Amino acid sequence: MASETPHTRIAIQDLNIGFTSKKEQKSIAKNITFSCKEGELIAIIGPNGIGKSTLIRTVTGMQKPISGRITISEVAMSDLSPHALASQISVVLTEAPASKNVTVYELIALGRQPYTNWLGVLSQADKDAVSRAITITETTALQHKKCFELSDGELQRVLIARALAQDTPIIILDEPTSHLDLYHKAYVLKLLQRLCKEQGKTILFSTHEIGIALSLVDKMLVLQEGGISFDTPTCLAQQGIFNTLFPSNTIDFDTDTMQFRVNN
Amino acid sequence: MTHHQPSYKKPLLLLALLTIMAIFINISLGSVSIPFKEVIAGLFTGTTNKTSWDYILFNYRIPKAITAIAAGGGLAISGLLMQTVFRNPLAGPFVLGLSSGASLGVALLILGAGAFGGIFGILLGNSWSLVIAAALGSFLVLLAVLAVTLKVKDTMAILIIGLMFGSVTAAVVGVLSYFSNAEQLQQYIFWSFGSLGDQSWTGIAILITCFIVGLVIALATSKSLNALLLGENYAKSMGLNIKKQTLFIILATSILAGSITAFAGPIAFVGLAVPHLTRQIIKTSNHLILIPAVTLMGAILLLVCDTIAQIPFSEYTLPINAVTSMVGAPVVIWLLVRKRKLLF
Repeated sequence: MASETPHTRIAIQDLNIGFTSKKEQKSIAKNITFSCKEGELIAIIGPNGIGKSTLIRTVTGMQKPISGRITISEVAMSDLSPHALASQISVVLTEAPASKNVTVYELIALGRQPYTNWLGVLSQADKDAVSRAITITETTALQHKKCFELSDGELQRVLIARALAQDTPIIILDEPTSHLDLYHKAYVLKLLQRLCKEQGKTILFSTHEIGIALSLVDKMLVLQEGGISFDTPTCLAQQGIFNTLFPSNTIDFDTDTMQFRVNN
Repeated sequence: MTHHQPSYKKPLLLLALLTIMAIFINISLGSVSIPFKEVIAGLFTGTTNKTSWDYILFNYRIPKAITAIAAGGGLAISGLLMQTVFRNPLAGPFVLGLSSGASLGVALLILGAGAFGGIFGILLGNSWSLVIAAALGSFLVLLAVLAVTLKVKDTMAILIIGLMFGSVTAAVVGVLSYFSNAEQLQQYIFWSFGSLGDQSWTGIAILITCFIVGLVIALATSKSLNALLLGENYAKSMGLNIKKQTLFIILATSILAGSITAFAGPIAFVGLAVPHLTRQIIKTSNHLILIPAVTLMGAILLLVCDTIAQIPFSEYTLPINAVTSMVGAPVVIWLLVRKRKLLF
């Protein structure tokens, strides 16, 4: 018996992103088409200023697209209320929490907001979800600390725990590996991979860590001046996409070892 | 597995006990010495041994204590709300320009009588006109701030606009002062000293109503306030309607700060200092716990400041606004020196 085909969680069609003001429309990237299925880990890569953050802001509903369609779990995004969207997509942003005085437990528990009553009181089910998020991200020892006491790596784990507590099929992260040391970069990306494999989450993240991402992700969305490519890392390598990513007199891509190399 | 939140019942209970103590101390001390036993008897039976004590207790000290509780608690709540909404540890109820609005209303009434004469002079005769002028001033600034909030998304910009309102108001008050006579100036300056005493029971009833309405709105927005601790984008991603909730939060602040300034005059530092003091005692950012905690803490602080302002057993009374500043500013400095930074 053939296994059921996995659900499409995010479908993006002919998306044109940028900023709209009364006077003008400033398009940053256009003709973006891709889709993410259940259990897929997908990286968005590309140079600074190409529109990775704008794409993430658009897909998470923080910013309206200029044109094109975004479908979340088979419902058009424009038809989803903020509350309905909050039970589909959770986010980890580059900005630090506004208050540094929040305790780790409180921060993670805020992820339960779409499910708690009008006063935000945690039910037993909420507490269980928070506990699971804490266990998976190995933040048990941090739970009574305040945010200003955390290292960058610890804070990133806590923010991911908050997204997990929100219990959404989709998690979207904006540069989750920036400011982290090599170990923590690998730790965070491996954690994301595990969440996709074990829990069937669909995770979309932007990153500059192409090297580590290549070996872990299912698919990559490459944003470049010349155009947009979306495929598995192996296929992208065969198409020679990575060779044109950086100026070849500085960085080369070796298709056999799937690694970038700095030219001497 | 022990993933749990600590309980905050004990510190809240302690604060409630301290509030009750502060009330008793505040009512017992004053220019006329009334034995503590008589004060207790008066509180529970409604009469004391002397009719003059009865008069002092029920027409002066108890109304003043109630005003202190509502004003201290209310200002502390609005301070907490403003610090969270504006993501700024230095925010307080006054940064929105609410007290500036009230000052302008009062200045126009008292000082404007000299400059324009006529209708202002007639209005001045009514003891309620000061309260109405202050409330109108606060309310107009509130409307302006709300209009700005709907247009400008950036909370930092709203903060700056609030400060600008303050500057313009101070300038207008300055111009009015220049054209006023000594008597009018003195009347305005006395209002700006702030006063918890001399409130009518009707006034207190209005103040308490505003206090309860403000407290209830604040509690009802506590879930949104908690979400805002992570910043607007995170709050939005958790399904929060930022504009609507910000509007409610500013409304609560305005009702509280506006009514208090109208009745008791501008009272500085309580709104700014109390939330920080409370965070030293109760280690949580959950507004559902912080709101009752700052209410009690604000009440305690203003009761204590009022007790000091009375200079027990002397005939003198210091302006309450001066005492709160003298107590509040060192508290903020002490917190900064000890913690090296103010967090909200």
